[in-house]
Amino acid sequence: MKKLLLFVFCFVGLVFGQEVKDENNNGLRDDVEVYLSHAIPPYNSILFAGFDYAFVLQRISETKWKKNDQFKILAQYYAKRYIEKSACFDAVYFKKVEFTYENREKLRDIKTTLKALIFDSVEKSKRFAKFNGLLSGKVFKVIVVNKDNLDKIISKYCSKEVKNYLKSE
Amino acid sequence: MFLFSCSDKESGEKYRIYYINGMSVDFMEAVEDKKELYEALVEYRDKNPEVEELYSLSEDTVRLAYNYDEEIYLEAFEVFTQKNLDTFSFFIFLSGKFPMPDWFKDMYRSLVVEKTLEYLGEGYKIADEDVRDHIKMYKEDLDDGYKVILIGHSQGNFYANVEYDILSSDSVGVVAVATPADRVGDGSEHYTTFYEDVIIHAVRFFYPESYFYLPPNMHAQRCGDIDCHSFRSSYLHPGNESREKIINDIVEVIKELKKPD
Repeated sequence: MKKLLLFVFCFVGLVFGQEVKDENNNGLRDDVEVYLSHAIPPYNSILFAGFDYAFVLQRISETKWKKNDQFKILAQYYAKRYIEKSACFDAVYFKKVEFTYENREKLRDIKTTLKALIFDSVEKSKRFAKFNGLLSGKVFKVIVVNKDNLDKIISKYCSKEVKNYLKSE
Repeated sequence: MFLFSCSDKESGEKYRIYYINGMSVDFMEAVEDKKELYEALVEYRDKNPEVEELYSLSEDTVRLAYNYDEEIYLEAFEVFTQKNLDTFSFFIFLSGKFPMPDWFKDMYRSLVVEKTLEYLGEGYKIADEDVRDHIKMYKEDLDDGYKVILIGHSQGNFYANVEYDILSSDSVGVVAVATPADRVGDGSEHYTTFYEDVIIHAVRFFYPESYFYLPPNMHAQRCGDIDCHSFRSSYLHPGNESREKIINDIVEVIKELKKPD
């Protein structure tokens, strides 16, 4: 199953990788939206939390990182945004799916595939390395999601849109 | 509930745990590693309510002291793209969870091993600026009365050891995981390395016999990544005894450390 998924998304990556499309003009690449809508359980709340998460990665992939102090600060800003949106994605996901190690790994695999889809060119992959390099040597408070704090995380770090979908589901 | 709160106050342990990732781990992976470490601590606390040291565990107890070596990534990436392969597969292979071609496996392993040997050969070649912010944070914690525990994974142990040497304090301890280093920074034996860990095994294979290293001390029941080296997927895998041992080591270090003056 994993191999089949890998093949399908390698293909998607190859097809969409060269030309990024955003036909619905929501700021997020269409191939990323298509992948997410197939990979996660069928709830709009998870889907939109996933979009917010992917959007941060996409911004990182579009930034022409340079090695100077201003970009170091920008990288830390994006790292913080990443941590927050990752926490929201986790929290909404585990509102619907049991909080087990296997499911945590499943969600991590989805995140890995998103990363692979978004950093899909030589240029973007090099930007990815630069972004990571700019964060080297820094310390980060990482927001932890566990089965007891899902609501707190959602209320603090998720968008209104995600919260509204959660209410209506 | 009431008793728990009382004990919590009585134990009064103030400590902070810093997870120091291996140098080829990207930020997103390191964030996930840190989350799983926290989850393992919570699970251990819930299973062992008698361990007072973990009563004061909170969401802010564990932090990520990040480091990254662009060179390994870029070198591997160059070899990969020279073969006209797509970048998508590169990321998927790097995750270590999917089947990868032998040539990629060998190439990536040899890059990591080469880099590790470089660090070992040059007495932990780490620039001051790479540890400056880490040290600053640890010192702030020590000044605020926190014990500081450094958890190094893979080459992150070079950072942990260098940083321990700089701080040189009875209130700082080190727990090593999958360590290619020749010692645990604080001189203790709080380390976990699998016999099955391909990366660490390769480092040992290439290093001169006279070199004193920390031998493997545990078998993996499950390998969650191809090299049996990943902090989260292998060492913290719930199917491995190492998950509990690592947390045991952390608890022991918390007990052993002195409160900062």
